[in-house]
Amino acid sequence: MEGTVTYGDVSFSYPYSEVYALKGVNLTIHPGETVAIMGRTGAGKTTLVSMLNGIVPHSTGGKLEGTVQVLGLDIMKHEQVELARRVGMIFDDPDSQLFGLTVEEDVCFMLQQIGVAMEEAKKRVKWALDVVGLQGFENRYPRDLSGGQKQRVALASTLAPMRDILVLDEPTSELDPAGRFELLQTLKKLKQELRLTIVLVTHYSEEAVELADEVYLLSQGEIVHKGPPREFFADVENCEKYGVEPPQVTQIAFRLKDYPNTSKTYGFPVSLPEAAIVSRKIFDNIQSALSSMKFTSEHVTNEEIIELRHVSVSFPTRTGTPIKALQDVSLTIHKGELIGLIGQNGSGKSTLSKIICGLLVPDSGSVYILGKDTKLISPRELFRLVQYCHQNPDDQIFNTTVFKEVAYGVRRMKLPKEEIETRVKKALAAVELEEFEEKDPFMLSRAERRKVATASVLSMDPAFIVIDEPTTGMDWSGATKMMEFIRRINSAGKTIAIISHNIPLIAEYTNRIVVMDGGRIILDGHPRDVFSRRSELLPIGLRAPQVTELFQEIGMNETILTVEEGARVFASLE
Amino acid sequence: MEKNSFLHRVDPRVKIVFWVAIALASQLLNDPFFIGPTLASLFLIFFLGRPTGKVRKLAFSLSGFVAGVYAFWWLFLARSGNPIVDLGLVRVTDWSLWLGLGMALRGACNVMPIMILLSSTSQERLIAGLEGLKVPYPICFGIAHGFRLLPALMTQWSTMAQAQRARGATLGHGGWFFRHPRESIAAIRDAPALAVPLFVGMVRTMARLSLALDSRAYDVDGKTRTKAIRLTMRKSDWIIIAVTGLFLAFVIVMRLGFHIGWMTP
Repeated sequence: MEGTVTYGDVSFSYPYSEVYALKGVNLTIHPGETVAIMGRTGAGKTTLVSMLNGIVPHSTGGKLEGTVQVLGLDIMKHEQVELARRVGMIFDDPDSQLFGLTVEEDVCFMLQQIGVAMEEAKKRVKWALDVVGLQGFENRYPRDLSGGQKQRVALASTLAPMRDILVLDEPTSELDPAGRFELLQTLKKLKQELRLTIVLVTHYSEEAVELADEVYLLSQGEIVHKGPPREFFADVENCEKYGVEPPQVTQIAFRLKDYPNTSKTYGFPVSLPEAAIVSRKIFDNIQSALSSMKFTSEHVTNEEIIELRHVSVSFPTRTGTPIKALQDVSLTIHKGELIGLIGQNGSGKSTLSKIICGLLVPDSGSVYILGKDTKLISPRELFRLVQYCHQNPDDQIFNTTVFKEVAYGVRRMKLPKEEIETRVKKALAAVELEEFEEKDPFMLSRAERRKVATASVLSMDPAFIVIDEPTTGMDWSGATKMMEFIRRINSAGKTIAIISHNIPLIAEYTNRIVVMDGGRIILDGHPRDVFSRRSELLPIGLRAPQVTELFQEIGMNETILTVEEGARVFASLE
Repeated sequence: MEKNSFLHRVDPRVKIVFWVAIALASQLLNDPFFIGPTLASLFLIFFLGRPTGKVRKLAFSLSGFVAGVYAFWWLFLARSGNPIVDLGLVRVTDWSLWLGLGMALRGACNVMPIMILLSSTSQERLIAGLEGLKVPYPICFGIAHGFRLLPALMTQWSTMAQAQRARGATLGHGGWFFRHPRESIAAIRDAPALAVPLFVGMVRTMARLSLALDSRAYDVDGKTRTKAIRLTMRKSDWIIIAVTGLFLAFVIVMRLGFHIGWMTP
């Protein structure tokens, strides 16, 4: 298969907008090349790649200046359908791109659209499913598959029509770590075996390092930095300036720039194996330096505010066999803790959180909040004590102003008007949205809507808050800001549990981690303790942060959690 | 995997035509003597498809609900006949009872052909049947995708209801019939808390869906589209069409020609 793409001085603005989404972009993608596009949310990445199959501008409208050539076709002179036949695209949300009742039907969808005979279509479906590692899945229902499997079905559906170019727009952002790993391995296999031209939009530097031949950094519609992964991420300052997180092992290298000897030995690795090789050269010196270094792993031992005793929950399924979402779970939460709740999708994290917040009732066992059995607490009283901030803020937002939205819950507490206003203003100040009181929440960015949803929970002043996936879909700088904001709320006295797949941020910001698998708590302790248990994490598809794994690879006993700690270790050798 | 009952093997076009014919016929009948045997026949046909327990439960519940809605007004509003219960405003006569029964059976007759169609026809065959009857492809695709999206919509509804209940909203807590009128009023007041996010969520989902369709070269006209299923009518299908046609003709003649089968409210 052949593929070539050329952007010639491309500028683009959406309808009714005076702001350019893309400005003067020049970019060439050669046949068989894999290109990663990175940048902050809103930088123009999706606009850029959506031109390849003609969604921009044919479906979106807008004004395009310059030329975009895809396989010799000028996108302005050809119908969107014609371009879509040559360029496959996969989006971040698996559920909104599957059309068939069965996997076979879904993969066959486009083949039918373009008039491929059914006998040939069935052969191609089988081939495509084999390539993505889903042999025998033809009659399965997509809704029963995991996120990673659904994305592989979407991948198969783009491969079956034998397209020349594959575009993936943040394909792993909604997946758990196991799903991300599955998809990444499949893409590596496709790159090696089929030599497709691949364009990948991602926030994850590991994906760019493992797949891309060339990486481009977009900011406000312009390409501001580019290069092969090694050169690209070595410019750590530039990456960080534009909101891209380099691999942790590369960040360590940057922080060693003031320590010339160590820096010279360590170099600028971009992957874990590479960093491990160079680190072993200085390993012998590390152990002796470590004895004088202290790494905290203090547990919070304040009063208990929540206790679960032998809680079990089952859900019915279509097959008739109930699924055990929680199995005999016991847990104690102390005031002031900032807990990271991690595990694969379906491990029981959300169920556990909803049990604590009274949104679900256990089949057996008891839940105590501030010493009271929740069976004896009215719903109205319960929601004053514990709150659950859903993953998608759009599941909650419905008012016409931010003020009304934040006041919604606290109004139901039947408090005096003045107190309601005080609480709302205080909550808005905590999330740094004081100036947004009269704005329409639907007009805000996703991160801002996230903050509005969190403020609406804060205004009720509960003793305990669960925040579900606060950083999903955010770029690195947005995710870091969100975690800083959560830490500030925790420091002000709130006990918080965060459900997240962002392991590096959980390792850095929390003081306790609870690991779940199959409805049970597998590990529970300080991040340093939990991430030292590699042999227990790997079988359940979880990996420690890259910097942690680096020091584990070279045989260190101490568990390093952050880039700063890792750099401090190496710097101590100077 | 699709079952292999006689009903499952009937051409989907025949089942769709049957549904339309019965819907028309049931609009012309409300006398229990006539509509009753029609409904009994529909139940018999329904069981030919060997429906699962859940489907049977759904069919009975839905038919019962619709029958109840149909019967309600006529039971109390019709004034002719000998009174059985007379409380002034509330009055039930022997005639209104008979009419209410007829209307209830008619309501159930509107539901059962749909249940027969949906319980014995896969989504793929349903779409093929509609296309075979020259229903425009975008409508067929919309119907098919509507079925697929329904479970996702129910999940979204449940998630949103949970999110708002966590903030103190009264939303269907304890079922539709609340213990105290104040709770019912609170539920109505809090309805926008569910309706707005649900609507916005649906619009966003549709927008994402349309982009995904564009990326799969979705052809609105469907002219170049290959059909996965080629339907062919068998002898039994033609017999069913003929019997259905005769039944409809019989009802029309009876009703419009001889004024039989209908009780004037």
